[in-house]
Amino acid sequence: MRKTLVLLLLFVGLVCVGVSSGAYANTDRNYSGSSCQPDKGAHAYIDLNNGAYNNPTSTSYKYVWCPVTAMQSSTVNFDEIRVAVYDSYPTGKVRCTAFSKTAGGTTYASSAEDHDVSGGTFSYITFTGSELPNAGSTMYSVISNSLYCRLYPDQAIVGFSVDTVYN
Amino acid sequence: MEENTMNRTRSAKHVVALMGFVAAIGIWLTPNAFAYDRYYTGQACRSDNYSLYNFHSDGMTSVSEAIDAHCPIGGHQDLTVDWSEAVVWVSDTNSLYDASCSMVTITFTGTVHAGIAESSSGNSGRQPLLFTGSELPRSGTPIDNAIQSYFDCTIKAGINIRGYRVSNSNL
Repeated sequence: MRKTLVLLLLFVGLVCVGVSSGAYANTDRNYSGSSCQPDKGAHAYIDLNNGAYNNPTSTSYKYVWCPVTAMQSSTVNFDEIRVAVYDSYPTGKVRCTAFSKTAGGTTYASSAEDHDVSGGTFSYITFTGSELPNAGSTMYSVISNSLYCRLYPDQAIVGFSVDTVYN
Repeated sequence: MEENTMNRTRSAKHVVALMGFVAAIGIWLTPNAFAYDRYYTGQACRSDNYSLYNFHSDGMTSVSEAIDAHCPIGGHQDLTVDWSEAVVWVSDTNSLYDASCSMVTITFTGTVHAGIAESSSGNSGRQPLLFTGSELPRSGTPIDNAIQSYFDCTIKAGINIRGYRVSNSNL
């Protein structure tokens, strides 16, 4: 009887460990640029039908916020963040910064990363290592993760992906 | 011979008992092992009048007057939801009852399950609005065919929705 109970306990424990470890494994999440939000004053110029696109009718750069959602833990450890951009503006670069905020009010900001290529091309802005919020080290009690990007006219955030070591 | 057999049996029992003990520790260390959390930044929220709110690194802020904010809950892996707890983090430093939120789940057939609203107590800085029991849609009991869930919030000027979390055993 006791042996059966112990075996049952063991089985339940192993299932629990399996489920919980799966929840916090290395995860790559992908988001559409259409989930981004125009910053104040930019709503009339940012099209969200196919990514976040600063319409050519806009005469200057605009900012968008791109929320990173559905993280499964408040402990966040970024491995890599990639932003897929379309850029046909001849001079200005797409520039993005990643933010993580904790329940206690601490802000972890990444470096501001530029998109180097222009001229009707698709490519990536990539954050790794020291370019990530908290330099890629573990952050605790994180309640908010997002990207803040500057778009010149005819530039777009097509999508973005967030690779976490633990989440 | 008989003594060796008894020793082996006793050792085997010890091993099994030890493994059971380890399993029990595993369970104890993983509370809500079957419940999944999802975190959302306040920048995922939206409102109808673009001129009345702003985004910044700490979420969504009402800039001049009270606004109604819609904060979507996405990333589900199952159409059955079973809410166990939810939290909306707001910054609340101006006056009493600056933020009020309710959690809603809608099904394919159009049934709207709305929980009881939670309000901030005012002047207490960063604080969470905690939703449990009857404050959750359908009082936290399972809802099948759930196609949409969100928080409906009203926030006064200067108040911001920083982020929100939902805990669900069927995400």
